[in-house]
Amino acid sequence: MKVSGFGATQELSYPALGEAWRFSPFHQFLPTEISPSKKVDSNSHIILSGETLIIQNLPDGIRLKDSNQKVGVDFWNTLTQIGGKAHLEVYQTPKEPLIILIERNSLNAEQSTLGLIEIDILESNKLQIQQTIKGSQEGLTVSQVNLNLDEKSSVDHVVSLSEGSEALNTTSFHSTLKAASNLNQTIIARGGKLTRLNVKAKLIGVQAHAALANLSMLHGKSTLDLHSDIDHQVGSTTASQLAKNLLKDESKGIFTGRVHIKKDAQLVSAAQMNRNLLMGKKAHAIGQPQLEIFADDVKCSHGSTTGQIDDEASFYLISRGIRPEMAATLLTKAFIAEVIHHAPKDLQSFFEDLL
Amino acid sequence: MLEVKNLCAKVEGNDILKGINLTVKPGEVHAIMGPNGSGKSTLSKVIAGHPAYEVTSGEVSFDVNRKQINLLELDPDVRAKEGIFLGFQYPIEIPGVSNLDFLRESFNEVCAHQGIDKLDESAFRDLLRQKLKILDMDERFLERDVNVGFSGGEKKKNEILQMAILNPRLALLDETDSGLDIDALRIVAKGVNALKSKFNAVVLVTHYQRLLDLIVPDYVHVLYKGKIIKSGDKSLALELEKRGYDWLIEESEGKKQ
Repeated sequence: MKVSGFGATQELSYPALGEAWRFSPFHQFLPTEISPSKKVDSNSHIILSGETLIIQNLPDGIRLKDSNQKVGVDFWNTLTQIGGKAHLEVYQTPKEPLIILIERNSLNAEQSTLGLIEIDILESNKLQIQQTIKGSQEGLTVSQVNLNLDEKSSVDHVVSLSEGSEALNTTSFHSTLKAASNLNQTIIARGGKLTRLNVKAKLIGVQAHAALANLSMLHGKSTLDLHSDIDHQVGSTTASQLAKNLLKDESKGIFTGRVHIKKDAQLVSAAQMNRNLLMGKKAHAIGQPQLEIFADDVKCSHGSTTGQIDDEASFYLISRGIRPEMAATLLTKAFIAEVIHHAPKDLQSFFEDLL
Repeated sequence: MLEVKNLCAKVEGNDILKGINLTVKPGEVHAIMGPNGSGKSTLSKVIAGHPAYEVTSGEVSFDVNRKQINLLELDPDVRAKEGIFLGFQYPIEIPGVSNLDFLRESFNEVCAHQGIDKLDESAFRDLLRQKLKILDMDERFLERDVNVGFSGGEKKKNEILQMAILNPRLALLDETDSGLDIDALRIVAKGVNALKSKFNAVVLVTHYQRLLDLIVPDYVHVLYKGKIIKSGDKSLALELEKRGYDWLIEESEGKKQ
């Protein structure tokens, strides 16, 4: 089902004919109007590509709701409003994961993919989501996924984001957790000239639990700026967060992690850890934890480490006959694996190509 | 098999070893004792090739294919492949690497170097099962990340498990008995004794006689301020247990004057 296809008309000036284009006569083939790719990936249930949103073969238990409502008011929200929008509802626990693809493919390279996906998970249902965000060399993707977890519902969400080296990307995840709901979210991001990742979890019901893990694997001159906001609106809520950066070359990984515990939100447990592995002499990590705690009976921990591969760990492996370069590879994989292992076992294969 | 001649070494600018002489032959068990800070751990780390320790003078040679070769020229991973094993006093935790992957990787590298065929998955599992049994370890140890969340005793058992899999010709065990309760100590000793043969040698760095009741040494050496000040048989360890180190230190310092 095609929910909204904007079919934007692009004013393109064709490449000038001349010697340089002798063997590639695009002018013979290009249509007068270019719309975003309609290539349908048969595995995905939701595909956002360019401005087109395709929803197909939704797993049993998930249905489409009215998608014309406005959500949010800020700049990025407005951008996502221009693009594809989908509002889904999980009324029954599906037997298979929901697969989401947000892409800029070769046909909409240097263009933009914009969109917003909102999912309500109704009481006591469980949802697994496998989300891929991938972009071509250049261009802009702005997308947001909102997860609204009703009482006792649970979501396991794995996200793989990979961007082209000149691309710009703003990706947001906003989750709201009602009582006794459970969110496990694992996001692994690669590449991009500049990527901004906004991760918000708002815990509004007692016994709600959010477990978040992020890994940014950057190289070249990539910059990834992760802003997270974990908001404990009521007491007896728990959250854990692991934010890691694996930085090569001249890349830059930024983590700003706000943890807010509202006044009188007692018995909150919140743990935050930031680890940075620097593998390039000019790689740069910035960690900014921001704890705003207005209740007195809470358990909070946070920490941040930045360094290179641990010499002692490396020697331990080498002293068992493992070659130094293999030891470095194993330890790097181990750094990545810790985040992959954060996802539930049955979803870990989603990240298989990383190891 | 191992010959250490007048070995001097330093770490972070401090001279720790000041002329060590030690000869270890196949089939022997040597115990190295001595007060804290005398250089016992340094000696085992230098032999294993820890990069933080710098050899300033002296020689260490090791038998490779019936030829004594200069051990100090070999990279640390090659030393391990040639049959030197260092049991760590403080085994390192490596989150994200499973014990099984670590053991397999290590075993395969050592086999490849020694020209031995790799074992397939099920044969390797069989070998592991055998060794786990000796050490009274559960198979679930294999799935856990290397040393992560292990108790002190479990970490030391894990060292002996690695040793049992790699079957080294020379095992240097650095305070393998520290942090062990009596049962764990007995199991670790059983693991070490199971490895002993006329082809292999063991060097135990220890503070306590109780380990030497279970793994009986042929030689006991006392290290003090970077030198071996006394060597003897197992009765020396018993005497140290009774009298402490002071009399020996006085004896050796008296000799100097």
